[in-house]
Amino acid sequence: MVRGVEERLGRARVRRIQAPLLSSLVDAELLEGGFLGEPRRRSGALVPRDAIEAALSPRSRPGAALPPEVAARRLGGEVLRAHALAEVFPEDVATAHLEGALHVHGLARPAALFALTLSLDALKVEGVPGAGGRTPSRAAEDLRRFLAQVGRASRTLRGYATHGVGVPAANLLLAPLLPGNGSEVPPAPDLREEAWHLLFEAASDPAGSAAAMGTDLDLLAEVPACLAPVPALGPGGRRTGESLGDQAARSLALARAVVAVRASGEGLPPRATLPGLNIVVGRAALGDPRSRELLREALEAALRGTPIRLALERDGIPRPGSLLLRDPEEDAGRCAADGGMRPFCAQRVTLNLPRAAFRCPPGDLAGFLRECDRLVDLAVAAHGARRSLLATVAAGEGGALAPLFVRSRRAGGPPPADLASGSWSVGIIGLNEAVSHLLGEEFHESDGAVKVGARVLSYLGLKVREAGAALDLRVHLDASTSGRASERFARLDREEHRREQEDATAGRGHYTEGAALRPDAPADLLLRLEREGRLHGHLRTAVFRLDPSAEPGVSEEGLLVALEKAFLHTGIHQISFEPGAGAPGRAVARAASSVARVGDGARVGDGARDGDGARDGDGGGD
Amino acid sequence: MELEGLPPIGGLLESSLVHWEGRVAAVVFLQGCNLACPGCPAPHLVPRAAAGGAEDGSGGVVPGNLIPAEGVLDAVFSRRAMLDGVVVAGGEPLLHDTLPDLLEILRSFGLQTRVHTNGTRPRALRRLLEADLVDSVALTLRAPLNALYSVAAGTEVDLGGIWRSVELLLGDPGDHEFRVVVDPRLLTREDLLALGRTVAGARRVVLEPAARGVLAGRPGRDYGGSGGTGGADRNLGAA
Ligand code: SF4
Repeated sequence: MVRGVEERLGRARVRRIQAPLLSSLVDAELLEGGFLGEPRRRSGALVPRDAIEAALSPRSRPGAALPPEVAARRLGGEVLRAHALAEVFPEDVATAHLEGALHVHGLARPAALFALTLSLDALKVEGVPGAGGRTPSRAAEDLRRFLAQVGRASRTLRGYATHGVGVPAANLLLAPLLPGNGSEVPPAPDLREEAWHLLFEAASDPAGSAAAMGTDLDLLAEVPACLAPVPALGPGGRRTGESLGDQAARSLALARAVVAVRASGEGLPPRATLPGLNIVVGRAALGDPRSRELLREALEAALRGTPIRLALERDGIPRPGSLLLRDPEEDAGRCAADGGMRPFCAQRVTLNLPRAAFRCPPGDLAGFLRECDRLVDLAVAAHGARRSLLATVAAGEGGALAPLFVRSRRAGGPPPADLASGSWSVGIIGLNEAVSHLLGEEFHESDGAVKVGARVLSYLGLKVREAGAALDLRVHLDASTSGRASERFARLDREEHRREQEDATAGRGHYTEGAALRPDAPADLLLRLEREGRLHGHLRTAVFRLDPSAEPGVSEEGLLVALEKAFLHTGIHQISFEPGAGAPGRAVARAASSVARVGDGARVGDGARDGDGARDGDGGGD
Repeated sequence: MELEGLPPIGGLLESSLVHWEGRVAAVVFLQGCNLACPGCPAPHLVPRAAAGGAEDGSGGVVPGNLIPAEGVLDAVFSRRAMLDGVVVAGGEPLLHDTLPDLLEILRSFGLQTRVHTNGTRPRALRRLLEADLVDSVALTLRAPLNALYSVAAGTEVDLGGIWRSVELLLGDPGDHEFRVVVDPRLLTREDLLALGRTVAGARRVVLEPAARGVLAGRPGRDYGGSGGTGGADRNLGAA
């Protein structure tokens, strides 16, 4: 096996490589040698020459230095991708992926999961999980040490997830570790100091290691009713005698400190490496002046260029890792369980909806749904195959996923997570273009197009559940925001369906993410909120993107009002404030009798990504 | 619905977060204005009779033919759940005797109303306030109330009229906002202070950067302090 790795490096002319970064190449050898998973065929996975060359060339600019570790990781990724397609997934799934009918995410790291959550309460009790069967570290006795453990644990977990790691209820679960009792709010400078350490520890590696993909911190703007009676765990994971409900004031103050420090950026690592901030907003937060203060400050930060996401939780249940892993049925029970809130999503497969539509003549909705059926069956078959692999690599204390699924003998007790409890995702891209092909109208152009879109989503939602249930998998429908998958779909479709694509995309040649309106469509904010909101209702996760700079002169108060409208009158799940990311219509006026709309808002594409751990918001790791 | 006799509508902004802070509002632009401000952001709305023409690119209002009131009211009505109110701007909306009819219809949709005026029609303003047809009035001031005003407005202005409008609003219990257009090529620091004294006691004063220079070629001024003139929403009320 060692020789195999050496030969790969030699062929790639990589002269120096750091030991920990050999892991992906070793994984490749293990998989290829049949030590991971249960390969059905023993054949070398062939990596196309251009893929190897691409892996070894710097992507930023020609001639730039490519760190050997990055080269090795990319190369390992290419080998694993080829191997996974040849050996792990059924042939028809691999073919569909290669042809661009669907996109299996995370192929470069087949033994990793899609998204994970880090439970702070579990960390308080158990300490950092020990990788590869090593014993975990002890629970920390003070906040500063605990934050260091948060950093270590999130780095460890990021190695196991291709998409992201979410930390649910970060402010609420950290609050009991602050000095004093629940009613004492520490002075703002002290809180900012702790917030700084939290952000610093949760930041990803700027050098772009395997753990470069970020961590998302969920900050609750209120204490949800289901969490209020849960006992608060303090230092060492011991009960403080108070409940989480008693921590409301401290939790809110800590959230405000995190937002303020993140907005100032002072002394923090580069912006791109900082954790994402997701503010979870419920009904109570909108009516509470103190919570509104947090929201106002967060929106002010967004106006000044800080990326902020708001998760709109209308049923009072904070989804664990809300932006990655919502599960409406299971979250209620899970969130009240001690040490719970650490679900995971094992894999995402994204469907190319425009392709499915282009294969049918305009107007043939039934034909399109039949195409979708076929794609969903393939996606769920891919999930079944990945589950078999994961079950193998998760097994035993020495298994690759042992820290997640196997409790070490020393720690005792039940395993931290159960492979069977994970969810599986079927993502969609380009619903707008699919409907445009079928109906001749895009979402911003007609209410009828939105109705058809909602019908398609409702059908797909049922279909993925049914197909998943047949394999005993909990499968959900999500809006995929992977720029890479979108770009790949569009490129491949250009070859086979150029005319249809040009018609459906009005010559733009790229697809909108998930079930969103086209970013450059002449539609104002309200129209977007209302129409996308109707589609979000059929999806587990979906993001509404809002570029505050596209609303000239708007204040945080104005954005707060828009947030309230979105919460009360639409089904929008999440609003992502992304300065410069796009321009959901600004001034849109009606011309006299033509009722034509004019808008501006050219939007930069969907954030193409290089798959080396860079994130494009909700994008996949592959 | 009786649509005869409504004021001429030259543009509609279906939603705005900035025309009435703290509210999501549609903005209805009425055709016609009695001033000729050199920096007018919507010159196509100034003529009493709307002319055909191309988009001016100044911020979304489409010039040209009038918009049928029915279409505008339909659009506003269909979005009423998402809207808090409607801002009626111009042009100068108080030029139109039928403005109260429009406001009444908008009120019947369950929406709040705001009128943006240049303050030159105090009698019409008084009638609106007395009839309780507006929830808020925004009055735009372009210069201190002296000879400079006619320069800023591009025409002779009845300063007494503007003064009466200011007093009306200051004495009215309803919501109001004074918007001061700050053009550093026209106004000195002293001018701004004089304006501040004019609206002393106002509930809210918003500084609004001029859309275009009033007097091209004149150098900008430094008003001192750190704020400059760039940002909207800087409160002069206490000044
Ligand atoms: S008052 Fe307003 S509409 Fe009239 S000319 Fe001046 S800026 Fe233009």
